[in-house]
Amino acid sequence: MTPNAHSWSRAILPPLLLFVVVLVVWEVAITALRVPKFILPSPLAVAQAAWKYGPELRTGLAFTSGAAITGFLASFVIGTLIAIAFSQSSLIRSSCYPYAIFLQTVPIMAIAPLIILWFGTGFHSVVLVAFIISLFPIITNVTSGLLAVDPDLIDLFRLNNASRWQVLWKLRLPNSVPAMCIGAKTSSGLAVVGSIVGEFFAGYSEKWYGLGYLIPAWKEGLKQDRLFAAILASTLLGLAIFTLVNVISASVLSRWYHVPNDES
Amino acid sequence: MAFGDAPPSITNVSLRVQAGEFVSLIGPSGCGKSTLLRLIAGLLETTSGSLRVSQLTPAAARKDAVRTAFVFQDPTLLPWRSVVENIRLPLELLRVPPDRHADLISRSLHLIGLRDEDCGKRPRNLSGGMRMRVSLARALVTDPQLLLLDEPFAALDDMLRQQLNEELVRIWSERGWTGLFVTHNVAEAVFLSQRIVIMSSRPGTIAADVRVPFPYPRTTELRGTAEFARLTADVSRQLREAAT
Repeated sequence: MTPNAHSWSRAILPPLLLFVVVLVVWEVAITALRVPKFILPSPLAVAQAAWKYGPELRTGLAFTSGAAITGFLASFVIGTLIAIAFSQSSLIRSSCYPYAIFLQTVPIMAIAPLIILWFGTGFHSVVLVAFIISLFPIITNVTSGLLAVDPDLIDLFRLNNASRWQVLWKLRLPNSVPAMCIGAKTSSGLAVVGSIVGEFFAGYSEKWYGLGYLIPAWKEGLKQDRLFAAILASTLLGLAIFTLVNVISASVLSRWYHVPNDES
Repeated sequence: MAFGDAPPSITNVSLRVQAGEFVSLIGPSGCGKSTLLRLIAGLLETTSGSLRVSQLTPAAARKDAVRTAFVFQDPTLLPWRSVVENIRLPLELLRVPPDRHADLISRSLHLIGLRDEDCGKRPRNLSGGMRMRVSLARALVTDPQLLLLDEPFAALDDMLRQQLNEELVRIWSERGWTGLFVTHNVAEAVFLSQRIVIMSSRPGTIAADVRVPFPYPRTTELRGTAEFARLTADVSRQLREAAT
């Protein structure tokens, strides 16, 4: 086994094993204690519901992931641009930062209905909710990355008569890449939560829906096996997007500090 | 010349350095040696008195007339750039035409004795000594007329420090820039410089100005001579007096 495959198996095998153990204990406990299905369905019942309602879950997954990824990408680009503006002027930073914190503290469940009211139902409103909830970690992390530059490096650039643009492009932005990756990891998970919350209040159209529509619909009907299947699908979606961003971050960071294939 | 609000960090400093001269600044910690170097580089401004580099204010000289380079105590390399890309940085910032880059970088690499196989490496894959060599190569790539060195070898082991001192003396003899070297190490100052300026404790002022009579090229044998030991002891004594 190569060292890489070895570290992967060490990262994946233990949680997978724990997952299987939890499922087995859950299944046995439900059967032994005769827990009613509407209180807590067994893993087998959830699996059967997931299989039976596969088409609905797939549609939900497709729309929720589309909204989450779009919201996340928008927050990454716009959050980075806002952070750049913050890094260029302490006046802009001190004037606007309290409002950026507002994004973090505002209860999204409270403003999501307002967003739907103002902008109507549909994909764009769900994306907007995902965008709002995932914007703050990008702003705060990228701003710190842009500002946390070694003062000697700033002096080095000044000594070589660097322009403000050169300092930003050749020093501050590259310096902020590790912080950008941390922000992206936090933000990607939040974008999934945001898109599901957005879907609680808004469908995409009469025909199309996301997981955030299925969850309350199935909860109302006490269809707990389907509800659990939808919750599981949401969790897996969050995990998949987080893992994807993590893999991209790790690859970017390793290229940042080490030349690929540099054995030394 | 003075710098700093009450109490100032340096005061009553009067110093003249000739073009092409190599001068070391030594003094107790916190006496303002590095501050003086930053003032000369135009990174700070004097609070009273005047400071001129080639008849201009340091900032104006650096911008228009005198190619100035600074070597920091830490190598201050950009970790996302390779060795060659780090050395190229000042050329990019000063907008030197790209067709001249290869030539200037190659000359700088040759001066510092970096091997071709190290050129593509990132700083994280280099030893401390190698990083400092790259930092020196970056400072020399613009062919500076004024080179300011702020304890560049302080973090290196003694053997590596001596080796780099010898190389620095050789490069200075070849290129002829004006050198101002801040150090805590008396033997290093004696080995490298034509003059040693000793500063007193804070607020720093000039306590003594010692001429070093040894001819160049200076090699490692100089360190074993009685004259070298005598002068090092004498400067150390004056430094102790300045510190009290």
